[in-house]
Amino acid sequence: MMMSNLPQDLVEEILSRVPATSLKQLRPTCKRWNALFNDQGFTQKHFRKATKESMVLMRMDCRVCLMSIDLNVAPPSIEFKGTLSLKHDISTSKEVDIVEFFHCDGLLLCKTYEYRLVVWNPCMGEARWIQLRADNKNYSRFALGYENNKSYHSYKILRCWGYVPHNKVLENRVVFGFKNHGFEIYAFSSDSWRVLDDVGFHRFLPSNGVSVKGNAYWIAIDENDKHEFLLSFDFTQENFKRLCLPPLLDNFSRFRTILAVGEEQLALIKQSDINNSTSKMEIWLTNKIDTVLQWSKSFTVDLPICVDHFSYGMTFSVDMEKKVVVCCGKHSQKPMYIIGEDHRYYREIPNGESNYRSFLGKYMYNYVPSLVQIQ
Amino acid sequence: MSSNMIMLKSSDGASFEIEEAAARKSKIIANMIEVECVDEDKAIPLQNVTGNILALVIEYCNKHIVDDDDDVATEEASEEEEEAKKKKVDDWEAEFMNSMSLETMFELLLAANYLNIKSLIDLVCQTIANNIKDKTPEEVRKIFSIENDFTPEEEEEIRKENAWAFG
Repeated sequence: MMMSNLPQDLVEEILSRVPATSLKQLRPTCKRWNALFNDQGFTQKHFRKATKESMVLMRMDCRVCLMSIDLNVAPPSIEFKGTLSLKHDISTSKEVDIVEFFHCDGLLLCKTYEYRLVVWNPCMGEARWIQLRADNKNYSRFALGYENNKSYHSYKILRCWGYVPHNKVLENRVVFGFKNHGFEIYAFSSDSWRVLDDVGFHRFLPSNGVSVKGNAYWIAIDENDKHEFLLSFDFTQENFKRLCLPPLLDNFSRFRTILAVGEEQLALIKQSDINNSTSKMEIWLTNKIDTVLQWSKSFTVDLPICVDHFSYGMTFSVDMEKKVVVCCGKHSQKPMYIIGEDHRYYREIPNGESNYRSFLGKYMYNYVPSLVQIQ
Repeated sequence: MSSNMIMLKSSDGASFEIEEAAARKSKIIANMIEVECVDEDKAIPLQNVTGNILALVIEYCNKHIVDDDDDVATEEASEEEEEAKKKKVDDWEAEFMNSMSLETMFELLLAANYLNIKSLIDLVCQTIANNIKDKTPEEVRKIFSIENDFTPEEEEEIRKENAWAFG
């Protein structure tokens, strides 16, 4: 009895359960296996069935680094596995400078320093450059999602554009003061952009959105009452929705970051300073997101720093199972922290390796690699 | 619960008695029972399954029929009880698969596929997948007796493209 005697559908049943990065290594096994990577039916099946590998990506200045965080050793370790390399094209060795990215299904939508747009699957080594309209005086922010079609994911890109007034400094959270902003959407199926007229949101997009089940989510601030709310964009209906956040019971707490947890849930970090040397972070979790959104508190960690002193641009990664938060300040000289519930797993990692240009700072993202093809 | 017993006969002539409810885990057998082509005195012949593999299939079905019964009895079980029960099943499945060689797993998978027992197909595929996970192409070819049909140049090309694009 040999595996080569198994019918093809059973071979695919087995291989669709091997995690993406491992299966990729098995590509040179034989022609039959290699061909599966170009078979959209297989890659989508793999996306549904394979064990998901949780990784952390860090954008350090204009490069995307892969990090491995091991909580099973004491103290926990953080290892930089390397920089993911994206070239402008085959003929040049020049690396692409990435200034912003948004990810969905293991695909990274990257805005480059030269203001070009590329969708990239670093695990598959595939990239597709997206033509932007020639209106580069506008500042833009992008999100990647898909139309919720039962059999396959039909990817789209949302673009929010706005004219930046002269000398206006771009802040990291919500950018105020954009003039004449608007939205347009790109569909991979038609390879074209289309202006969206009435989407139900009239502000510039916040940064740091996340994708869950094809739709995008951000923490946004209401223009009038200055309260935060959860903003979502539905890529099927092509409109925005305003959703609730957990209640803020005092004036000292703030919502820091929204994160995707698994495939169907959102998590939120609510932070408050207790005194000059301690702050508290509550991690809230939603139910599965296809029903009415409900929040419940999952766990709390105490961080031995006053977060407000350096929290500007602070980013996080969360392990919901082990109840651990990893936080990383934007500025290269700031340390990283790993901290769990009841002060378990605590580690402060001084930033020794700051040999990179400190221009955009550090940015951390939870990431799950996939074999999804860019159609 | 009715405890109707039916007989199954393997390709090498071994007979097994199994509760009807357990046998119904197989969609093929359930179908045969529905259309009443099961003669009470006669064993159902399963030409594609040998006795040692059929014994494993029956062990799996018996175990899972008990679990299904539990489901009915404890419909209002608390979340913790549900979790504890699930863990018990997971542990049993891990133990069950752990005792098997890869060759047996392939045969069990073919049998589960022939008998159409979806949860067993899932279990065996996942176990084989875990087995493949950290292996090199060379190891995988050897274990699964797959012939390398690439030329050295072709293989080199794929390996080159293949690494995570670390710069």
